Amino acid sequence: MLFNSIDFAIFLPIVFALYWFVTQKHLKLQNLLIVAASYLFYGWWDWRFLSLIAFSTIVDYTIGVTLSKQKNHSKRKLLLWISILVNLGFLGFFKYYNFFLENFISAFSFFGTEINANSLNIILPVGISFYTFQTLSYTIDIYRKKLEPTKDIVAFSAFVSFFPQLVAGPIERATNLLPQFYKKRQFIYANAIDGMRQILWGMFKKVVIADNCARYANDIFNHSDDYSGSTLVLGAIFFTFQIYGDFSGYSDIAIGTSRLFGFNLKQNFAFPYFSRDIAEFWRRWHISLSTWFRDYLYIPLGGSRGGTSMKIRNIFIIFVVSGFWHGANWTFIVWGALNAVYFLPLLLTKSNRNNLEIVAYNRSLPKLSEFLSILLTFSLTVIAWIFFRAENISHAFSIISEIFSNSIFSSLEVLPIKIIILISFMLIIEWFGRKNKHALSNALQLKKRYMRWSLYIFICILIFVFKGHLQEFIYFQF
Amino acid sequence: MKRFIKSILYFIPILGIAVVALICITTFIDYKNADFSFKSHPKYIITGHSQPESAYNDTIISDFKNISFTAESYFYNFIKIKKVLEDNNSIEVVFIEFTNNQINKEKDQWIWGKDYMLRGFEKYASFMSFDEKLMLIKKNPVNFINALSLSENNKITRILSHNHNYEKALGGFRYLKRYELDSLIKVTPDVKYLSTEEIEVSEKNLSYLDDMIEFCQAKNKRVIFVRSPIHEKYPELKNDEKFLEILNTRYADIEFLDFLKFPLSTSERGDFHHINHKGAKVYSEWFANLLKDGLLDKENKQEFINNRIKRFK
Repeated sequence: MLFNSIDFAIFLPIVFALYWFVTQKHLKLQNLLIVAASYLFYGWWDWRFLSLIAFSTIVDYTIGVTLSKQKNHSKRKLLLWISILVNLGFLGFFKYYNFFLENFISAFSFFGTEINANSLNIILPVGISFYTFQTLSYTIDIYRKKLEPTKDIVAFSAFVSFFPQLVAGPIERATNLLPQFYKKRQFIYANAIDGMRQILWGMFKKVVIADNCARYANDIFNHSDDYSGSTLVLGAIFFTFQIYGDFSGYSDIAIGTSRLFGFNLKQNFAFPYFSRDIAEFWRRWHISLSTWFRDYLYIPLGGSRGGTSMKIRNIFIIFVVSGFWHGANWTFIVWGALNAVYFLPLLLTKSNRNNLEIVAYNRSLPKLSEFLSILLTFSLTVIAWIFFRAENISHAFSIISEIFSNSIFSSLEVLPIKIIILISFMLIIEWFGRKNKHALSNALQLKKRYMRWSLYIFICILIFVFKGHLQEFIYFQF
Repeated sequence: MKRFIKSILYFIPILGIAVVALICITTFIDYKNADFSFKSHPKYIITGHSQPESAYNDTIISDFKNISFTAESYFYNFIKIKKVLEDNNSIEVVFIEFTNNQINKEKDQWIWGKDYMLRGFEKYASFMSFDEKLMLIKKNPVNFINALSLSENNKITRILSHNHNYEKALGGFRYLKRYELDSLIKVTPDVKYLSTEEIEVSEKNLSYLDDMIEFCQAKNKRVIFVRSPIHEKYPELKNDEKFLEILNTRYADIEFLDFLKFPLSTSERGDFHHINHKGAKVYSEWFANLLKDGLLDKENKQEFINNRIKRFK
């Protein structure tokens, strides 16, 4: 079920009403409702893959309980590895099987050995990368004794399958989300209203910005040979906003929806395109994934401790793995590696933590130097996104070589003014709301109710009038 | 919770009013400023779907304007014709493509089916009556909301860009490059003709054809049906008996020019029922000569056409 569909517009109020008016007095029943609603939400797309979620839930629940009872270190380690192998096994099979097979065949044929192996026609279950990481964090945290295992299978099932964030995150840690299923949720007016605002802003970013940018980005990337360097730059910029609108929009809707049900999810995007350097960008982009890799991969590898070569190795590992997480294609790996290349100078000069606060925190406008830093960071990001969006590496290089040719100075073949105005509107609203958890939080500090409502109505009308053609969320494929 | 529900219940009607107000205002401005006039001041126009769209090259036929559009039903043809005739006094004759596939029941989907409604409503929303809109809502409510949104986008764009001329949006000659007939012939059996009882007719679509005829006649415009060239293996010819029955009963008073058997080589056809650009050149030149030689003033037009076809062969 897509958030931006009529199905969801019917589904949400029904679940909301059942949740607060029918099951409110019984916590278990309420959690059970969440599980049922989540399975329905997921099964709407393809019910066959519900068994994967159910299996993953049972395995990690059982391992969690067993881990807590087990004192023997090697047995505990064995249990952890079972969990890791089961979860990553599913992920590896569904997502990476064909990739590895094709690359093995290519590698062997390079050395003159032909291998006959057929790739499988595998459908990637939506959200598998997200819920796999979520359940993995649960067992790892229990293993590390940072978390007590739950004995409540319903609460755990609800944690794994919680529908607002099941298919595209944020990837919640058990330490944050699971305890929220243990206690009675309170309906708090301010939270619910702010949740609605966040849903509204998420919808705007997805339906207006991402879906409209997609039209042009797809056309320009799919017919890149027909366009000059200047138009290719525009296409890359449109993709930059498409992926932001799409993914941060989804996260906003997910977080906002959770708030309607009395849950608090972690912020997943913190205005990343206002970052002054790549390190800041990665603290603000897909925060739940970045922190996951930091805590479960980067720090165990040694983090920023050790010698220079160790630091470089760790940075490359985390960025390349992060790229690979996005998909089984070399383009994602190069995208990750390129970000590592951007990041390294900052780490080695120990300037990766220079910009911790949002830009121009106590000012309404950035300084010139800040503005130029934002522009530079944004440009680097745009170049990296070309690899992310391209069909393959050679496609990405052909686009980049055209961009850095004389044709960059030719006039644009497409100039959708309407979309540029809409992107500008988004950036203005995000700029004024940048100190908050989401752009419309506190409704830009408008004190009068009629002014706030006018703003909401204006955004609703923009969504109604300028919605692009319905597109799936990009991150569903990851 | 009460406060939350109260806020939502207040907000939704206000939003509804704002959206309705927006639709009314933009419709009013669009309707008032809409310009359907043609610079070429044509005497003849042709409307219909993709068959006439790719058959009549109006740069070849003098005083002629092709306003046909792919998969456009008589419903949208009618709305378009109303505005076109209002804004173009030069038009004397309205040719309407009346051909076999347009009487089929499935053609009703061309009115309210997903993509068809989006395309048609997007352009003509400002010129539809309340009843016409109501019919679309009833037939496909979910898609109507999408169509409404798309039409608002269009209207606002036109208003902001001060571009209210519809000439380019209405349709026109389509330069079809396709050339697939050879491969289609190999895999398609001969037409199996069906009896009249076996054919379900698209009543809704034809009712708008009736309205279109009535409107044109009320405006003192001459209405002529045409059937553009079709290859003999076109499967939809299976309903020919029913087609002729409707033509000779329901539309007995309407002049009909049948170009079905106009000879074209396979390289001049896109597929069974579409002429490609090469065929359109040949056919349009021939059709232009027919008009020049007084086809429309002849006593027995079909005989005149048939004789010309024989000579052309």
